[in-house]
Amino acid sequence: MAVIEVSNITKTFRIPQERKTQLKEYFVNPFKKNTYKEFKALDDVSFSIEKGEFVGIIGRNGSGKSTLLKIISGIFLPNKGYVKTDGNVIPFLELGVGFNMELTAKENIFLNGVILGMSRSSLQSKYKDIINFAELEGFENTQLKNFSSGMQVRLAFSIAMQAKGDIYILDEVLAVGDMNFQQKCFNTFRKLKKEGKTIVFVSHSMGAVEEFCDRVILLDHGKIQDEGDAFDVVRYYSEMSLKNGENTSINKVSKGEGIVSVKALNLKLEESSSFNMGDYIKLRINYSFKGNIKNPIFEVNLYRNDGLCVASLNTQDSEVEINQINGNSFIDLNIDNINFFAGSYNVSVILFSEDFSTEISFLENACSFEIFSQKERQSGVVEILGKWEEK
Amino acid sequence: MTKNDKDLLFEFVKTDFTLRYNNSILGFLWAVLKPLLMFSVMYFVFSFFMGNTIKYYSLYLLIGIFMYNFFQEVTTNGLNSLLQKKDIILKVNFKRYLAVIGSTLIAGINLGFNLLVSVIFFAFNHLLPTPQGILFFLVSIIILYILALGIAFFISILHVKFRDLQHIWEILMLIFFYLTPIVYPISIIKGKFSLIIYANPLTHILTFGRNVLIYGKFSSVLSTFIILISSLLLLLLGVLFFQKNIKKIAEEF
Repeated sequence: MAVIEVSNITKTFRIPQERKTQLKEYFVNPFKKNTYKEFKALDDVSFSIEKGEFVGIIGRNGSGKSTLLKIISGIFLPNKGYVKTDGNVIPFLELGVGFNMELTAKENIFLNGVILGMSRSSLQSKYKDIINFAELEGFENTQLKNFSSGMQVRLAFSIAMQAKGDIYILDEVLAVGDMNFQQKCFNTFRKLKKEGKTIVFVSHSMGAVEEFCDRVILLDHGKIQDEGDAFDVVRYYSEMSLKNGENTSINKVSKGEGIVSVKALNLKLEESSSFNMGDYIKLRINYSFKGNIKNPIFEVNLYRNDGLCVASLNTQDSEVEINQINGNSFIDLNIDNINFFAGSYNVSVILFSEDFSTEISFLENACSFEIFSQKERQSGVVEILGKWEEK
Repeated sequence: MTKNDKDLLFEFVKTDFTLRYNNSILGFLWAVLKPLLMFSVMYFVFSFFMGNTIKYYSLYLLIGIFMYNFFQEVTTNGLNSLLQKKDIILKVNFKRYLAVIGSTLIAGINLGFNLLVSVIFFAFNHLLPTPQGILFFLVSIIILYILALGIAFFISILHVKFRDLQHIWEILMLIFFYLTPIVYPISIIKGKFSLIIYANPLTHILTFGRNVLIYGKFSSVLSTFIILISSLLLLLLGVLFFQKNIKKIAEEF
């Protein structure tokens, strides 16, 4: 018996180029037409899911996975086709939906729980379990803004676990949290699977997909590319990604090619390994390639010596477009005001081909530097500039 | 409305309430202070002109401001309701109209607190409203709410499309404050201008509510009844408009 039936779904988004979002604009320029670019997120997608099945949906970024989940969950309407679901659908497109930082843990349990479709009375009876499972005894009446992000995630997950439905829609829930938390997630999945619940699961973690899914659907550019046994589809997908990577970027990088070195320079453009907080730092990334690399993306990750990733920057998010690179050259990352607290840090650099499709070169611990600071009472990771205001 | 919808509505209102009142001791004071401050300024300015023409002018003004304030809060909260809850709307499928209704209910609670304060003013004027007066005053509040909610359903959707609507709404609310007999009596308006005042449904609802509560007399009964019927109609149209557009609008957040 099919509990989810997706029939010939097409979803087109109109991405506004110049959309009027203010009434004012209608008065100022009433005859200017809104211009849109059409983007087909899903193109004639059909499949059905049987009761008790654990189905994975995989595909590259932008292949339409999230849109599909939103349509199954009833958040978006398809342009064509329909979705029929039989049973109570619980979407977990995000953990902690509706969490309010100003409310206490207790208040958030009720708010979030009710949003997930639980009743107040059932939350009342499960309240102790939720608190215990999240290991938050004694923090019930603390405002959420005073929780660490780990505590928030634990709370969110522990509420979500109590939601009782027939169909679960899971989107990248595993992306957050540490190993321990991921194990908890997996255990919950196993339990749900044992109970015969129907689960639709979107993930980039191929290991998890292979372990849990009975069947996998591979989406590419809004179409179903492949569907079937988890192992086969995942292997097909990996091969496809590899091939795609080769098409868009370069031939395999040979020895001696790639990111050669990274240097930390000070204001006088001298190499240095010690800086004061607030100093200017220029990270010069030297590379060497024999062939051309089209539309590359540089990513710089800054780690504290205990392994914490303090910051990650890439040229795509910074909206820096690099057409192509070749030969021996360098790219600079200028940091005007390094606001890390005192400590030692190291830098890793990754070079990706277009759209992060393949990793071309990776240089770990490429350089390290020390930050000094005069301020004594400091703890934390980075300085944020807050303004004090007396009452 | 299922039990779960009621629970959801309850949590929405509880959240609004907690954020507004619990988190600062002044929360309650602020809710009462704003209309009271407005009252003080208006009273100071206008009582010279109106004090003699209207009996119990302070109560007339106070109740008028409270009622108008209620109308303004319901519509403004409704206007912002969808954008305010967009994070939830994009992640969970619940009945969207609950977001609109939920946001408006806090206005009722605020009105309740305001009316508690008005008891002091009644005592000061040695006036005791009749039970019948109180009952029909509540009827006028319900009519006001139906009208405001109907509007809220329209503008909540429109606000998603036109983000400057809230500024426009703010100005409209300011204009309507003076197009409604709140600081002045309706009898003072003569000539062409009176047509606009009489065409404003708020004029009739406020006149009806204030007259029964303060003066214990019925007036504008027929027009208020007509407004009730048309407000119900507007609410129905508002709900239909809302339901027709809400699914499509999720993409525009």
